Amino acid sequence: MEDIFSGIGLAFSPYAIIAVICGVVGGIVVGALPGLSATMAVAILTPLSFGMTPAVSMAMLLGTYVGAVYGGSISAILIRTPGTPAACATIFDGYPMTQRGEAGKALGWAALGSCVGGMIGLFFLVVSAPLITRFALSFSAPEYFGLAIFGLSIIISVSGKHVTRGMISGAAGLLVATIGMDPIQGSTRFIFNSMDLLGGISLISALIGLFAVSEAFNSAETVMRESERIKQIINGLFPLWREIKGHAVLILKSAVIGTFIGALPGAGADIAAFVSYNEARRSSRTPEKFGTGFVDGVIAAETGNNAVTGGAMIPLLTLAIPGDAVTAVLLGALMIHGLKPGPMLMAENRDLVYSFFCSLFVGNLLLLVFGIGGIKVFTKVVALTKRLLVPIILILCVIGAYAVGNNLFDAKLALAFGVLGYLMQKADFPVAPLALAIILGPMAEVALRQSLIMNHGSWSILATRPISLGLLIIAALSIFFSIRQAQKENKKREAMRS
Amino acid sequence: MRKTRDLVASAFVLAVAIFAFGAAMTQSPGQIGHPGPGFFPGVVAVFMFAMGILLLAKTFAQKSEIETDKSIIPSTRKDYLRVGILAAICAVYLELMDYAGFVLVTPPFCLIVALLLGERRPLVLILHCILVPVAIYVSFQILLSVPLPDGRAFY
Repeated sequence: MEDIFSGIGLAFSPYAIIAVICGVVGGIVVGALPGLSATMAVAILTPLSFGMTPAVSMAMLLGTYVGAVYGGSISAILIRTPGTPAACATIFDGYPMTQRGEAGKALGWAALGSCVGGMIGLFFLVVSAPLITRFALSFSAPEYFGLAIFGLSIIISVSGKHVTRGMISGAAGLLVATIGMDPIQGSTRFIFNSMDLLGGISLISALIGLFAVSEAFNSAETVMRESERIKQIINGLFPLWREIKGHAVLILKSAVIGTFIGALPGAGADIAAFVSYNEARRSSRTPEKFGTGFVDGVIAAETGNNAVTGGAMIPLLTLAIPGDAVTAVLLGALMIHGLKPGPMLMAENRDLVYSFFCSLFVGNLLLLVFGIGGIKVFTKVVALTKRLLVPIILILCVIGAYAVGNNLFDAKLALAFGVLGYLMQKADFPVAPLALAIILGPMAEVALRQSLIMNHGSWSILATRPISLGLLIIAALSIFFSIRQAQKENKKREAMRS
Repeated sequence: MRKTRDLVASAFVLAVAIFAFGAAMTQSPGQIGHPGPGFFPGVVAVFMFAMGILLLAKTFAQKSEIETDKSIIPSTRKDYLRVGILAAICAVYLELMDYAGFVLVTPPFCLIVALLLGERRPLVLILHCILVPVAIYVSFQILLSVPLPDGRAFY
């Protein structure tokens, strides 16, 4: 008990509060800038934390982490540019809401979903860390493959009426994901003698190109017909209590998914957002509304990706295994301060661990305050005319892609993906499956090959392990119902025409 | 028109699938118990080919006249030309940035793109091509210490 009060005291000291405020604000700003990920935000601030006490330092870094994961949704909702890969799934419904003048509502729900997701993730971190860690560690290659396939099954649902084209787009994404070094044998694949492709296709460049650059081209196409700007409704930003109650199950489910995926080593907020979105659509009574500016899509994606912040801390604090790239940086920061993450941390520095929990709590609360409070400022971006907004978006895209590896080749890749995305849209090929497959492709390939190696080439391993089998069955059901839904909608459209 | 577009798209998909399969075959497919680097892309290429055939079949089966949404104003050749020019300007911008750096090439880029998109107010143009690069430079290079391209010419 004494340790708990001591931890609370450390986390609520004036320095720690100032640090967490700076972290959240800095994280939101960096997360909203295309190309600058949560990992980069935490990495940038880590050297600044060297002179601080461990509690104050971690308060700032944890604030940055939660702020950056949420910040990505701002540019995703407003200008169809995922600030971070985790915000990619938020685009599907967030941007159509902006086009309808409901950017304020989308941002309000994104902030609330992120806050609640983060809080639920934190709750699981506090009460069930050892249990979740044990379950997460029982995941090996077949389970990861099942998870990747479940994530990929969303391709059908995000393809709308163009299911075949969506699957082609997804296959193209899987092929793009194989460019670079073979993840198991280390040989090079499809690099066409280009050293720039040795490390593979930069995920950030591909996402920026497919969503943001292609949208800038679309805007350039229609700019002369821009009669009036869409007026954004920015009243009633905070969702009403009855609306929150109506979405409670969705929020809880997405948060549990996000927390669990966060606890899996190697699976981060981007995968959590897609899986939560897919599950929300699968279990919805109105799945056809997803992708058209349906607030449930924003809630599921944002709750799922921010719940990862709590989930990813579970293996970090209990086993010193980072759940994602950001927690890998946090692991380094803890070690720089002379702490030994893992089972001994809880035994030796219990008060400090409680202060981390409190800082995460404060960070998530502040995220809501700054997220809701900043909406009026954020929405000013879309009030700009496209004639001025398009060059700004293009420059941000170029710099965002460049910033990943300080390499202009990545910026050129973003432009190439932008042209590809634009042409795909003109030919009715959805771009979301391509992006999704680039994200999940490496996990699917590595897990499949490792599974086959584990079982001497026999595919039966995927069906004999309960978790993997369960995930594959859910994925198959999801695909089946999505195809049936698409067929129904196509038939309805045909009937209306005739 | 739409049928022709879909035929071209199907042919392109099939060509990509065949190319990808050929490229995958240059990699080792591995053994039964130990799949190699060519295994996964090979499987995906075959799947893509099958989907390409399905798309082709659907294209042949579709009626030639499909009603389009009358509320959407169709784009003109001029609109597509504008996009083509914008893509070319971006490509030139990246090449020049590689040589001359962010600071020198970004203001003219802002100006040219805004002009291309129809902005004609002189004061707005001037402010736009000064303030945007300055804001980005300050945010990235100074506040966040994220380096922007310097340009090879100044090494």
